[in-house]
Amino acid sequence: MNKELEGQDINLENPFKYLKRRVGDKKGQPFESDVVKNWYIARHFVLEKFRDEKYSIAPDDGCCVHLAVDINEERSLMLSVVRQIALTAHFSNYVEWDKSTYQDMDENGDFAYKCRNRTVITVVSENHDVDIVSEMSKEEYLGNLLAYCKYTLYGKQRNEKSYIDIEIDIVDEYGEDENSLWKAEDISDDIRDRYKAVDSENLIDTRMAVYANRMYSLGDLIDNLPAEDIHCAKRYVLALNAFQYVKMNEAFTPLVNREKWEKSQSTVKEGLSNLFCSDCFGLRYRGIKKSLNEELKKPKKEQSKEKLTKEKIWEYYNEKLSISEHARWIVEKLIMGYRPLNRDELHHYESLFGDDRKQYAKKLKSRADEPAHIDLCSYRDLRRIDPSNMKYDSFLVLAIPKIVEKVSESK
Amino acid sequence: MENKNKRTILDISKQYLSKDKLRYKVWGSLLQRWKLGGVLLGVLIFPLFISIVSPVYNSKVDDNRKVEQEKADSVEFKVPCFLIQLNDTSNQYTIELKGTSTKASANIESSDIGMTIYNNPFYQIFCLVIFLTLAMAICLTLRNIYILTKKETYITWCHIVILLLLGLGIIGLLLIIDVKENPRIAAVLGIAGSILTWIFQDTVKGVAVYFHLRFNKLLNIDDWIIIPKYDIDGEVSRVTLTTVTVYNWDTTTSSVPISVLHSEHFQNLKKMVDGKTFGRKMSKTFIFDTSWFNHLTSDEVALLKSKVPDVTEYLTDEQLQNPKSTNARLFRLYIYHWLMNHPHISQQPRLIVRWMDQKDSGMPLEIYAFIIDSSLPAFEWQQSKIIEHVLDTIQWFGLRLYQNASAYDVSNSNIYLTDKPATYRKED
Repeated sequence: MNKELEGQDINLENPFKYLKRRVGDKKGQPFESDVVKNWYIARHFVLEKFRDEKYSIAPDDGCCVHLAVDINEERSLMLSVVRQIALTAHFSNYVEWDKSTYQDMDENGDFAYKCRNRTVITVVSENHDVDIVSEMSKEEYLGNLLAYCKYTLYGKQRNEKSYIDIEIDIVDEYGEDENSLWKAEDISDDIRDRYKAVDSENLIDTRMAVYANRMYSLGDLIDNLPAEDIHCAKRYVLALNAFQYVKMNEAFTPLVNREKWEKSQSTVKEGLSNLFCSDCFGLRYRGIKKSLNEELKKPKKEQSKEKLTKEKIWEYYNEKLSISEHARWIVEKLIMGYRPLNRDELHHYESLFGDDRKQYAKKLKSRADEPAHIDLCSYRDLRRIDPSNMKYDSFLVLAIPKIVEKVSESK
Repeated sequence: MENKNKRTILDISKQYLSKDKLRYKVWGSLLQRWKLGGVLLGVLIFPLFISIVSPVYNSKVDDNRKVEQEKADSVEFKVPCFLIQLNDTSNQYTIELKGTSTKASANIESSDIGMTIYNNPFYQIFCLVIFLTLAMAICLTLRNIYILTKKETYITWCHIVILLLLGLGIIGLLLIIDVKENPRIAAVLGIAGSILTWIFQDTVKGVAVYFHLRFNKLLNIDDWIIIPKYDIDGEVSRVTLTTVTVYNWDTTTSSVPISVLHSEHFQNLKKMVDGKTFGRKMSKTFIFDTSWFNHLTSDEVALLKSKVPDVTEYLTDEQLQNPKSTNARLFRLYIYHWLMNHPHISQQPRLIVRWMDQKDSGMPLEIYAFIIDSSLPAFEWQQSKIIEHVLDTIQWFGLRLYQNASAYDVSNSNIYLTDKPATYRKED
């Protein structure tokens, strides 16, 4: 549905209602209406919240975001908010590993990720009788995320060596930790006050998601590139021009193709993936804008030529933004029910070569019950396992400012 | 104290040369060559205050200082102005040729004053030489600064300007000599030019190769290059129009004509070292003693699992328990899967663990992989760790590497003949 809002054409759609349950007794059925409604409310709240200036985090900033959510009341809504924060709060200052190779070992001599500036979500739950991890791991909330991300359950750490940029801290009461560098901001009351009585239309503007989808269709133009120097922006100039001057000027089409979405869940997941991806565009855009403003404020002698214009600064931070985008993608896939390959699948994958290997990976990815994706690994491992897919992250990052400016997202 | 405050022109020039902007650098280079610049200035300004008489007249000066001029019977000649010394400021000039006793004087009309000096070809050549020398000196000073700061684009521009100056010099010379009016000189110059081009053909080729390499970004300072034909392996320290200087890894220096990089094959490994490729190639071969190839018993499999705990991650139970699997095959599969999951090994473009052709000394197993750490110390570190892991695990698969008997083995009777055949099985 196309509407005019304050002189701008917007595209309002209801994509979440097409998602169906993957496991359990109600497998194959759409999610309950109140679950879907909570998703919309949570999405709207979190995106509004992150428009605040304090969440404009530049790639070189040394801070992290720490939010606290009390789930004791309005449990379903609050868990949906936790879900949406996990989907959206991915900042470009996340450091997965240090470039130096000698210092990347733990005490056992194994490779260890540094993982600095993770986003921390404190979940306050008093009720010890409920298996909170199982509840949070439901399909409508965090899915497989807790199986792979670092989390603390009432003081006990799990998955300490995780490379994922989200960390969850489950506590029984909210208290300001004096030792913590970044104190948690309790947003629970904020949610309740603003959205308890809201009757949401369950409609969202999908324009940026549509442009993100068009970007991926440029695969032919960004194919057959040498793998060296994946983050060199000059490699993508041809595709960027095609995207900016051709794809973005095509007649607008909705994200939801009703016929296809009702038949195939993989099409629904693809579409939702574009939506979750575009939800982070505003955060990244504001972060880079902050970095550019800081650079321009410096005396001329201290300014870096590589960061002085809008185009150059996006190219300069291409690698950091790509790492952040890949981290976001991992969390999104885990929440949507995907998981990394297990030992047997990996063993079989490694024993195949050429097209057989590709076909096997595709088969694992498109499984309905327990889809597994070979790219669900750290960015460092992605570079050595499947570098051909890294170009999408790099190219998407360069296209973000063009998409945002086209849609003219307001602050 | 006084000396500290005194700044020479050289100090001031160094100050300007150290600044970033090009105009300051040019000014600094000019100040460095201030003596040469002074000469040029003098040569340009001097003629404004004097005039020259041409031709020279032989004359007599009587007591009343009246001059009688007689035109010289000898051939007229034009005199370069700086060879003439003036010693009279009146309207009547006495001109004395320096180093000779010849004197002449004449009344100078206003129409004779001024422009004659500029038609003097010697004067023109002199000005041209001074100007080119000064400009060339500035370019070379700037080029040396840019070589130190590794600003490749500016280095190339300096070389372009030097070439333009050389061309300007040749064209200027031809115009001064007025080749059109002198066909004989034109012919001589043409022949001389052809001979010089033939003699310096490599140099000319080198200039063309220089621009080909620079504009296609095939060669920069600090690139690691290998020229196999000349056994050169090192980092480029200097690139000029005709020569490339390479600082070899054995700390020697090689200078090669730049045309060699066009006619001969050379490798540029800069991108690999910078980590912009998949990684650095590792190719190691281990020669196995085939006498130790056999099928593992269940006890040996249990021993293997206890000594190499991660073997169950990379080999399935089916593979381990399969009675038809040899220890050689299991070891190859183990090493392959171990490398595929190694955090420093890239699976792309390829990772191969394979048996090579059987030799007298044994059966070689080759590991062909790309290590993502491309700098030399990091690469060698990881490579050594992989080799050490192979050596650690090989024995638990019941395998041995081949090694020739040494003098120690012979002298200590480690080689002996027995009645019973050797079991070739590892005992715990």
